[in-house]
Order: sequence, then structure tokens, then C-alpha cells
Amino acid sequence: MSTTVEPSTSTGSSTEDAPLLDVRDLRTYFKTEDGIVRAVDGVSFSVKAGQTLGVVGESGCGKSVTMLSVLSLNTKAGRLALGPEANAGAEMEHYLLASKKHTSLSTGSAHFRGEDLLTASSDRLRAIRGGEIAMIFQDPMTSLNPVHTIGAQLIEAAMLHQDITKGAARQIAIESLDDVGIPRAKQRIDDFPHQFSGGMRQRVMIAMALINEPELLIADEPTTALDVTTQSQILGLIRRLQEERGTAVVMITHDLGVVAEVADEVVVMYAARVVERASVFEVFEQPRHPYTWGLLGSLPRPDAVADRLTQIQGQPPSLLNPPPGCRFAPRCTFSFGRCLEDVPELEGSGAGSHLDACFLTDAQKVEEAQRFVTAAATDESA
Amino acid sequence: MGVKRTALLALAAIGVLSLGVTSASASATRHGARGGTIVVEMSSDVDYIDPQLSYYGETWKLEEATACKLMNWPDKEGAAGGVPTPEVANGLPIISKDGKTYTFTIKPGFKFSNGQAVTAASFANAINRLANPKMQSQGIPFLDIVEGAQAVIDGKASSASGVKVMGNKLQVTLTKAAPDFLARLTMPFFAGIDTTLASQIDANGINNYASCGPYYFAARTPNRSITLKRNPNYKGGRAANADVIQVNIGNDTNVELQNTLSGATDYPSGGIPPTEWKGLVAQYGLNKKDGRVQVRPLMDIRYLALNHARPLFKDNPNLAKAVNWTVDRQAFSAQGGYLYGKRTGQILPPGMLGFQQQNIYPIRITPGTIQVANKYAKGNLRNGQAVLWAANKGVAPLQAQLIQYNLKQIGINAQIQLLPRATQFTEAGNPKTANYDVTIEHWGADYADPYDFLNILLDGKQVLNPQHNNYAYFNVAKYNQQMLQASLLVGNARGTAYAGLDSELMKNNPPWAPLVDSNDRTFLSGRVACVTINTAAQAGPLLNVLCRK
Amino acid sequence: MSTYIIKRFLWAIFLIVCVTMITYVLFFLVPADPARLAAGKSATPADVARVSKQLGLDKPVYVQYGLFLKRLILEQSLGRSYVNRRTVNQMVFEAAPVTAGLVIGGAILWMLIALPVGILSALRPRSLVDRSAMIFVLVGISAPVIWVGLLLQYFVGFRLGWLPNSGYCNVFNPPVGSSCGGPWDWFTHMILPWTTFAILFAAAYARMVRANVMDTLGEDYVRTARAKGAPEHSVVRHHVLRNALLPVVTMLGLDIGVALGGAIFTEAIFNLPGLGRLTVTSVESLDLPTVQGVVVFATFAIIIISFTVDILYAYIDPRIRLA
Repeated sequence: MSTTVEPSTSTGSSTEDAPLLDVRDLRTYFKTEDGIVRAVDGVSFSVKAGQTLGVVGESGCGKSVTMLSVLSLNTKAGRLALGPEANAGAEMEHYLLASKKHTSLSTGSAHFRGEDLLTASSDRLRAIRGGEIAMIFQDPMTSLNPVHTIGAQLIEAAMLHQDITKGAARQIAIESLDDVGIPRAKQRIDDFPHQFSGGMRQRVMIAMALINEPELLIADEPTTALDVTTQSQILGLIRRLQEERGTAVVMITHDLGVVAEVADEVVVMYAARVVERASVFEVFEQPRHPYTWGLLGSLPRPDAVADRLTQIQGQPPSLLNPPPGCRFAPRCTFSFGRCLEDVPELEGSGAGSHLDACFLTDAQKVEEAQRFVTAAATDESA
Repeated sequence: MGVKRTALLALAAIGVLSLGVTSASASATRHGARGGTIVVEMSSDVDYIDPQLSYYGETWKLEEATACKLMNWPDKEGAAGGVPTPEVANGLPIISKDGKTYTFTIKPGFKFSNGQAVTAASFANAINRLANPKMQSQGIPFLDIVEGAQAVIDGKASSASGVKVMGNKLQVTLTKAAPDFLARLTMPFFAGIDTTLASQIDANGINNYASCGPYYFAARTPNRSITLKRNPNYKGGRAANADVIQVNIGNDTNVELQNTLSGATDYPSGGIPPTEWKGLVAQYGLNKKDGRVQVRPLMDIRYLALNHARPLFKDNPNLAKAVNWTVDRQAFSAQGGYLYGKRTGQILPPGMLGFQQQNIYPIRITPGTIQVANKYAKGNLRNGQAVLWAANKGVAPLQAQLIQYNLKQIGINAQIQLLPRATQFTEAGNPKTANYDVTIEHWGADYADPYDFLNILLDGKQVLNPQHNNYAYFNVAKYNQQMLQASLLVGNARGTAYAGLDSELMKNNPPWAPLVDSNDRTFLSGRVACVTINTAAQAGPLLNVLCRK
Repeated sequence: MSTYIIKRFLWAIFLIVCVTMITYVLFFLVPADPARLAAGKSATPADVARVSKQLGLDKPVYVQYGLFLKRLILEQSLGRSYVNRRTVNQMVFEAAPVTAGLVIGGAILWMLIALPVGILSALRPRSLVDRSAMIFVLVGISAPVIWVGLLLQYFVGFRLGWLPNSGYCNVFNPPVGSSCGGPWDWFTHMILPWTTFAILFAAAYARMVRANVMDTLGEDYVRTARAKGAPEHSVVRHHVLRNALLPVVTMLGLDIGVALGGAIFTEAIFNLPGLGRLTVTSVESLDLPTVQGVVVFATFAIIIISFTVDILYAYIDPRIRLA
């Protein structure tokens, strides 16, 4: 994947429209045998209609859990309402430990078209899931039920949200298979998932997700399990469908190349928090967080001569007992005293919507960003 | 089941008529309601109900109610029940001087359940059917004394030359004088059969046939049930109180007990768990008239056979005596539960001709008895090692441990080997495989005559046979001779001779350590009366006499 | 498909030969002589020899085995019992329906218990329902069948008298002289045996169902179904159960097949004249033809049932469709 970034042309107008999905201060904690895991610890972002948001971060940073929490898909989840001034983390832990019913707890808000999904009734949630918001997952083989035909699963999806007969649903299913590029859809609709290749299955997943014309598609690492060629095909497919239907997309990935290819806006997550939020162009051309620099620095480049990739030293912190202060500080080559004590807020430097969570000064950030970008251009390892 | 020709002749001399009167009046005792159904339970199926094939104690209880025989046991308790008495025979047979020819006269009036009359031919046919090789009967060995039977067995003749029908008389010629012949005739093998059954030769057994006794087999479902109904044509004088005797098969002893307690079953023929007897006796009393718990001595013996073919006991009478002094008969009996049996130090059981109570060996262990035991053992231990065989089921393994302990007290180290019962006695009876010094054995007589105890079990001539019953491998010429001579005697002389043999063997050269004569323990429901038990005939209450209250 | 069937068929033949041969060998290693037993207590050596010849026991073992096979294949006959001389075919075919009734009824009962218990426990882990169910499982798996049977027989059959404490009643054609018959009698007599037989399996299957359902609940496709907006009951019914119960089908087939060889304890306690009891009595009396007959029948039953299960499995799990 190259690092050259092409500004996407399919962003909707960004300023006057209210966001389609607006997540504020989302936290999700899990109760495990080892203790409370703070999987999502104060995450905020928004998605506009028709737009693609890329959520990027390494494994375990909380990106999937964030989206599952938005749809209340975590098992035995509860929701805690807290006032703005409350010490959210402590309150959450306290409540979760005391609860016998819940093994996970969320707080914060996730407004979809003005409606807070976290407080919605289960009926409403069921209507939204698969209807207005659809989600596809990483491994299409295990994400499809092996004992039902794909037709049955597509029809199920359609009939859950549309008041139609089975025959009509079947017709729609065939059309949607066609749409995603499955050849001989009419015959293959009665095949079972194991009779398709990986790429085909993911197309089926996409068909199933889009069959009810949702406004938002959440794609959780849809191409990670596929080979590079198929990957590119799937991304292209998503892109095309998005353009045709105007669907907003949240693309969760750990692959910056994917982000570069499809995203309009980018959210970088680290250790259950958002560390940088910007347009795709800004992230690649003017990154402002040491973690982002590290990510970019570790991208393999076809033109590089170095025999080892640059790594970020160290490991991400445990989410059981996250370190006080900035969570990236222990690994950060730029950290200083304050970083280990205070939590940096996600804020911008004034101009526009480019936010980051770092105590470095603007000047330092700009300087480092420069170095990274230059290094990329001049073939020096950073 | 005691039989002796001399006794019969002596009593006959006193008065055949009085015997006839006694038997008639005994069987006329019907002090209960006539009618109703008696329910009997058995734990496992009978082998066959075909009279020429059945050879199993439980089946014989039923045959006793359905068969009519030339000679039979009276339906009486005690000693009187142990005298073989003419039933269909009109009085005792006329016996030739050489003791080899018996002539029976058939009493008129006996009829089969299908209306046919019982004739001399009915019994001749029984003998020939028994001998027929196609029947493959286990009763064939009992025909060894009937002249001409061997030819039939070998397939060379269709009827035994020694059996002749002459009008209403039946003449049987024997190959040699056999004083126990009349006792043999009480076995169901020799029951009268009608002409239909006589023609039905099938080794699998016939389940549907007419009988000439108080009852007949109305129905049989193998492994499930047997139904006996009163023989409408029976006028023989024995009781036939219940209308129906229903036999249900298969329940284990626990369930049989439950059913008897609740009254669903009247007589659990398969038995009840041995540990229950004490409680039942405490609750219902013992041997009351028509009481629910009845105990009678059986004609059997449980004993230790001491293998005289092996070095330990060969020509070692003192060690054998020591064993008789050291075994704890009381503890051995206790293993089988309350009233398991009567302790004994003799070969013959009480009630059998030739039994005389001797107190040669103790029935209780005391320090004094242990001393005597050790006195006899001293210097005779040889290598002091013994192999002890016992069955591997039930109380036998426990009893083996007991014996092992007793032997240790006189200095013998016994190694226990447990075997399946069938293996135990077949291997013991084979000289090539009899690798034991002591084996715990049990013998029940087929008919009550001391011949069936002493000769069968201790005659030395058989010890070389590939299969025999002399588990003590006892072969002393002097005693072989005495046994042979005693078997030819009749009456009191027979009894005296056998009694003398018993005590002489046990005093001087014990082949065994006799332990216990078993009891027949019976528990009944509260719904029956007319309880008459004749262990000479069979264990348990006589089913034709048992009646509903 | 047809090669598969042929291969299975040949394998079945091979199995039967092996199993019967092993039975024969084991039997002849037992030291007791069946001819001696069949000849009776007072038999002379001549008598034993005669019986031995009649039963064919005087021939070498391999000849006897060959005769057995020949008779089995050409006449479909399992011979005659040494003890009561009935044909083994008849004894086995009389006993088989009794055992079948016990096993199939028991299987239905144990599934009726195991499925709801297992599914409910899995859907509500660590709840009161779940914990009570797991206690039931622990007791059911640990309690010996004999103990359960005897307890039920004593308390329910004898003390309370609610149900018969033993015995079997034919549904059709009650045998002459039997005291009960007909569907109702058969049913009441089978309740305690079914319960005894089923408890162990119910417990084991409840645990298996629970584990399978819990596993399946965590599968990705279940998450997909929820993400599609399917209501929970629909998720459980269409997505969870069908997958969770696949292994249960295999186990069920195997367990039924094996049990058809004779639920020995239950039959012995309740006096059901089935294959189990037939096995016990014929082993005790060293009745080789009957033992062999039950072995052959049981082997057949297991082979046929496992074959059926294989076919069934291919039908319900599309991933395992036979080419």
C-alpha cells in the first residue's frame, strides 16, 4: 500500500449537516476473572451521512468494541447513566463489580439521527440493527451460519426489516447477490457458505448487510482475512456501493493502507482512547500524535532499502490497570514528566477539526510531522 | 427322600394297609378354603417342564404337583414324609428273590387331565422315552440299572427289554439288585405319561401335555410365567386345594421379598435376601402352624473335601482330624444368615437312613478344641501349604476366608482360589485339573438314600474317571468294600451299616470336614394356609396342598 | 455414494466376524466344560461324551466356529441354547423388542429432560436454574444405575405402591397365563425402568447440550444474526440450536446402538425379559450359543444404527455431504 493519499471526492458537505452518528465519551468496561477491563475508555467521534470514517489502531485498542457497544451487541451489557461531572471510570467500576446481572457496562452516548442508541429500547435496537445500521465482520466463514443456505440467511435479513413475502424476499436476495458481483446468483443462492471462496463470502456478507439499504454500514476489518487482490476488490465494491447508495461507512482496520484508500475522516485509537482525529489527508500529511508517527513510520514502503521495519518499542498497556496519565507515554520517545501524570484531552489546535491528545506543543508536533513526511519522500528511515 | 428296600419290606410286613390308610388320610387334610390362586415366584426360568427332561430343583417343585408316579412321597411332614409310598402302584411291588425283578400292579382310577386313563403302559412309555437318545435327557444315568435300557440309549432298540407291560401290571427287570430303585422311581423322570406325550420325541421339550397328578401345566411362556390348573379328572386322593397355581419368573430376591410382604406373591421360591431372615423370624415367629416363616432341614451337606491324591492329605488321617477340630462351623453357618443350616461333623444328614447323631467333632470352637486340633496337627503338617478352592459368588468367598483363617490356626497356610461354581466342580472332578488341597463343596441328594451320599461321593473306584464326584479323591480299598456291601443291604441292616461306615470314617480316616446341613427356609405371604413341607419331596411348601385362607 | 455403502458393508462383515471370533475364543478359554454341565450332575464319562457329541463340542474350536459361521450365513440361524434347547433366534427376537422399548422410550425421556435443561442453563449461565441443573447433572452422572433403580423400585414401587415394582407386559399378544397386557399396562410397567435408564444419560446429555449451546452462543454467526436485528428467540432457534445439537445426534445414535445390546442393570432390577437379562443368564450358565446370539445381534444393531447416524448427519450438516 502506498502512502500517497488521494483526497476522497465522496465526502458529503461537512459543515452544515448534523452528523449521522455522534458518539460522545463512550466507555465500555468488561468484568472478567482477572478484573475489570476498560475496553473503551472515553471515545468520541462522529460520522456524517455518506461519509467514510476510518477507525484505525492496533489489535486490542478497542475499535471493534466501540462499534459493538454502539449497537449494544456486547453480551449481558448494561448501561449506566452518569452526569458530566462524575468520575466516570470509578463509577463504572463500582457499579459493574456490584452487578450480578451484567458482565459489561457502557456509558456515554451514541446519537444516531438524534436518537441515543445506548438508551434505546430493545425493540428499537432490533429495528435499527440490520435495518438502519448494518455491520459486517472480519471472518466471513465463521460469520455465516454453516448449516443454512446463503439464500436463507439473506432472506432472513430482508424479512426482519421489510414487510414482504418470502418470494419477494428471495427475489431481492438474488438481486443483491447480483449487485455484489456473485455470478449466477439465481443458482448460487441455494448454496451453503462453505461452497464459496473467502472473497465471495465477504461479498455475500456485504449483500446481506446492504439488503435493507441501511444508512450506515459498519465494517469491522472486512478485508483482514483476505488476500491482497481480493482485498482490493472488496474495498472497491464497498466504495462503489457506497457511492451508488450514499451509505455512510465506518471502516475499522489496523491497516493504514486501507485507510488511505477509502477513508474520508480518520480516528486513530490507542489503548481504548482516541489519540488523533482528522481528515485522511491531515493524518497522512500532518500527523500530530507520536503514536500516529510511529504507525506511519512502521509502514512498509516498496521503495525503502532498510532491511527491518521500524517498530514502536514496547507493548500496549494492559486495559485492566491502565497507567495514569497518557497511555502512550511509556512507549513514547517524546514523553516528559507531565505525560505520565495527567491525561491529555483530545483537542484541536484551533484551525479546523484536526484533534489530537498530546501535551507536546504545536510547534513540536508540526516539526515531527514534517520529518516523517520528508522521510517518506526522501527514503530515509525515521 | 430316604429310601431303603429293607425298611419298606419291614414296614410292608407290618401293614401295607396301615400305610395306605395313613397316606390317604394325610392327603385328605384340607383345613382351608378350596379354590383361589396361589402365586409363586421364581428367580430364573425352569429348564424344561417336560417330565423326562426337567432336572432342576425348582422345576421339580412343580412336577411334584403335576406328576403321578408308581412310588411317591406322601404329602406329610417329617419322617413320615420320607418313606416312598405306592401312589399309582396298588401297594408295594412284588420283588423277585434275587432282587432284580419288580412287578407293580396299577391302581385303577387315575386319569390324565385330558381324560385318558393311567395304565401300566403310561410308566413303561416314560422309561422308554427317558432312554430315547433323541430326547437327550440328563436323567439317562439313572437308567443304568434297567435291563435293556442301554440298547435304547445307544439307538439299537426302541424299547427296553427289561420293561414289560402285562395287562394292569408293569414288570421291570434290573441288571443287578438295587435297593434304591424304588426311591429312584419318585423322580419325575419316571412319572406316567399319556400316549400323546409318549409319541412326542423332542429334545427341546414339550410344553403342553396332559398330566395325571393333582394339577397339569395349563400354559407356559418361557422366561415369563407358568400356569398350573387343577386336573379335573384327578381322583387320586392327594390334595388339590388352589384352583390355579401361577408361577411368575424373573424377579430377583429383593423384589420377591417385597412382593411377599405386600401379598402380591404367596411363595417366593427363588428365595429372599439372606440377611432378612432374622428380622422376619423376630416379627412372625418360627415354624408356627401355618406361620409365615418355616424352616426345615434339607437332605444336603456342605463340606470341605480334603484332596487325598495330593501330598498334604495323602495317608495323613491325623491332619484330616485336625482340620475337623479347627474349622469353625458356627461362623461358617453365620455367613449364610440366620438359620442357614445345622452344624454337623458327619457325612450323612439328619433324616436320612443311616443317620445317627455322633459327637465326634465340635460344633463350637473353644480353647480346648484348638488345643486338640493342634495336637493332631503336630508333626503332620508336611509342607504346611494348601490350595483352597471356593466359588466366586455369594457367601462363598467369605466362607473361604474363614476356612483360611481356621487352617492358619493349625499351621497351614492356605492360598485361596476363587472360581465360577461350574468351573469349580467340573475341574475338581477331573483328576488332571484337581489342583487343590481343600475345596468347599455342596451336595444335595437326588433321592434320599445313603447310597446317593456315601457311594456316589466317596467310592474310590471312580477317582480315575475323567469326570467324577469324589472330590476327596478318597480311595481306600477297605472302605470301598464296605460301601459296596452296605449298598446291597436292606432295611435296618442297611441303616446300621451306613451309620457305622459314617462314624468309622469320621473317627479314623476323615475324607472330609463336614460343616453344615442346609435348611430349607421358606417365607410365605399372610394369605395362605395348609402349609405342609416335605423336604424329602422338594423344598418349600407342597403346592398342591397350599391353600388360600 | 455407492462405493461408500459397499465399503461400509464390507467393514460391517469384517466386524461381525471379528467380534464373534473373539467371543468364541473367550468362551473356550473359560475352563468349564459345557458338555459336562449339560450332561447333569450324575453323568458318567460315557454320558458326558455322548452329550459332547450331540452338542458338537467334541470337534476342534476352529471347526466349531466354522460351523457356526456357516449356519449363520446359510440358514441365518444362531443355533440352539445348551441350557434349554430353544432356538437362539427365537430367544433373541423375543427379547429384542423389550430392550428396544426400554432404550427408545428411555432415549425420548432423556432428551425431553436434557434439551430444556441444557438449553436453559446455557442461556442463563450461573443463574439459579443453571446451578440447580448442574447439581442434577452431577448427581445423575455419579449415581450408579443400580442404586437409582433399586431406590425407585423400593420407594415408588413397594412403599408407595404408585407404580409396579417389576415385570413386563406385552403391548400386543400378552402371553397365555400372564397377568397383564395391553398398552396401558406396558406403559405403567415401563415408567420406572425408563426413569432409571434415562437418568444417567439425561445428566450427561444436559451437560453436553449446555456446553454446546454455550459454545455456539459465542460463535461469530450468532453475532451476525444479532447484528441483523433478529430477536433473541429467533437467534436461539434458527442459529444456535441447529448447530449446537449436531454433535448430539452422533452421540445419540451411538448411545442407542450400544444400549440396544442390553441395558443390563435396568433389565435385571425390573425383571424385563430383554437382551440384557438374556446376556446375564446365558453367561452365568455358560450357554455359548445364546451369548453368541446376543453378541451378533448387538453388533448388527450398532452397525446399522451408526450407519444410519452417518447418513443422517450428512443430511443435517451440509458441510459433510457425501460426494
